Amino acid sequence: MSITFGTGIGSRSEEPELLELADASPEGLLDLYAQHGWGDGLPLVAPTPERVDAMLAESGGDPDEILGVLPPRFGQATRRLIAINGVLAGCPPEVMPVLVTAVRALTRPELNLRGVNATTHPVAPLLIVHGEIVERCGFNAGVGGFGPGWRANATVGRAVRLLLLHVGGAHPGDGDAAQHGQPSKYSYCVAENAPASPWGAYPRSRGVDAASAITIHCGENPHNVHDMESSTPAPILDKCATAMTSFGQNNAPIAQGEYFVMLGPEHAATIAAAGWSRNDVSLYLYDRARVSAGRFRQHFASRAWMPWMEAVPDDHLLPMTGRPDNIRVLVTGGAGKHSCIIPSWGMTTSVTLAVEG
Amino acid sequence: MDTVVYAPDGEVGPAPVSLAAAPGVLAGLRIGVLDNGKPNARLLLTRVGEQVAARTGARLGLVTDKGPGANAATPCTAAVLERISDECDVVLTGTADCGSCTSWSVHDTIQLEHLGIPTAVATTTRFVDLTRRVATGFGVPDARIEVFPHPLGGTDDDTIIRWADSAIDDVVALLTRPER
Repeated sequence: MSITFGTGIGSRSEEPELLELADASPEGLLDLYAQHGWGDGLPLVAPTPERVDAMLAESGGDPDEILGVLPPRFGQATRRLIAINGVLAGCPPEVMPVLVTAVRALTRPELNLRGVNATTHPVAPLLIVHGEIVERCGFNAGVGGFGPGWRANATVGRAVRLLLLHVGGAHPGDGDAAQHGQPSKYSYCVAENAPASPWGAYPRSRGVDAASAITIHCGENPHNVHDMESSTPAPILDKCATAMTSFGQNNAPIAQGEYFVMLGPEHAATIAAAGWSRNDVSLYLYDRARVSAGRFRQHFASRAWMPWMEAVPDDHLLPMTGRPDNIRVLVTGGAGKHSCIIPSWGMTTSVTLAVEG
Repeated sequence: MDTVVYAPDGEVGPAPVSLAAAPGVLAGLRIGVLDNGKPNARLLLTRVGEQVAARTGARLGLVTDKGPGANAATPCTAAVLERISDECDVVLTGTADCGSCTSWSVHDTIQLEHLGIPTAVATTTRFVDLTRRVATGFGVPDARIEVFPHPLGGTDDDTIIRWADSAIDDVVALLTRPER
């Protein structure tokens, strides 16, 4: 009965237009792009055919095949457009398969890119890189992984945003209504520190067993959790639970929203040394990050809850998310005693895919 | 030496739909309300529906949400679209007064127009530009958009009813407007 918009995946799009750049200085490119409303406000690398071809050489397949259609503009995302925006962002060519896979993930219906791009909430797609491509392409999974200072993290996250701006049409104001914006809308990319994870790589826990993979989670900026003193799991995770029990987060009224719990290696080691699995962490946080049903009801007249959550009495302690599985646990970062929680926009589900060109 | 650079945006998908054929008059027709769950949406849309019915001789029938698991930030379920298609001749929907709810309310509106049901979407003065932009993205720049004061959420019932009553002539015109 309903119609599907933005079809055409698998067919060919036109090669993007070529423009004369009379002034080849950085300012000349910025001026040319500004005339069309393009760019993110930062300096750009000129997407010459030579640079774009060098990125395309890292990806198989037809450069002009439509891989996905990005709302609200219904822009046809092709490998060539991905390469163009990768060059603009300053990406090294070898990250091209990560960008192509990111576009495939962004177009999955459960991610709800139409809502993510349009909402007044300050959501940005967080791209998490997993597996052997982390080291091969120079992604930083250790100290300072969220930035700054590492070309692969910085430019791949930026390329995702440029694709959303240019191909998706998510311009602030007339395509992206995010009331305050968010710093991570410039770039939001981190790598999993699988060598430091006591539970192995995250994608395998999601049923993706590939040499390299990516995850996209559409959420807020990281919320810090600080515990310098604990030698057992509970006190560390209780602090994580306090970072999760905020009524300022969309997770509170939207039960399908996920949390990404990004444990530092030292916190993860302490938890694992007590014999806890990744799933134990999720179960504990599901049980501990709770608020009484009455307080939820007092603050949110409109709730996207599961039916059973509506049925419990006001004095019942309800979890901040509808299922333990919505609490996703992985390891990133370097030495130290911090972890972080990344709440969700809400009406979105993270996507993990094997990296394919 | 001149340098050549690519444009970064590429092609857009073809315009997929056009507006439904509008009735000349609403007398005897069934008005439906598709409420996306935003604060005051049901009060506003239901009041508009009642008053349009009283003015024109139409009847306010189905008043529904988008279906199980759906809300302002997701598309209307296929089952509810089907029910509306069976039970309604024209529809009022919204409210498009934030980002994701605007994008998905316009999506629902275009779906209903595609099914042959003239549909007016309620927005506010602060979100009418986004509403129009999203509709244009669907290839329907002349979508039926009724603009109310902002904000709707947090505004008292009496004011919402007053705003609804002042929109009746506009909404009748939108729903009976010939296609361009």
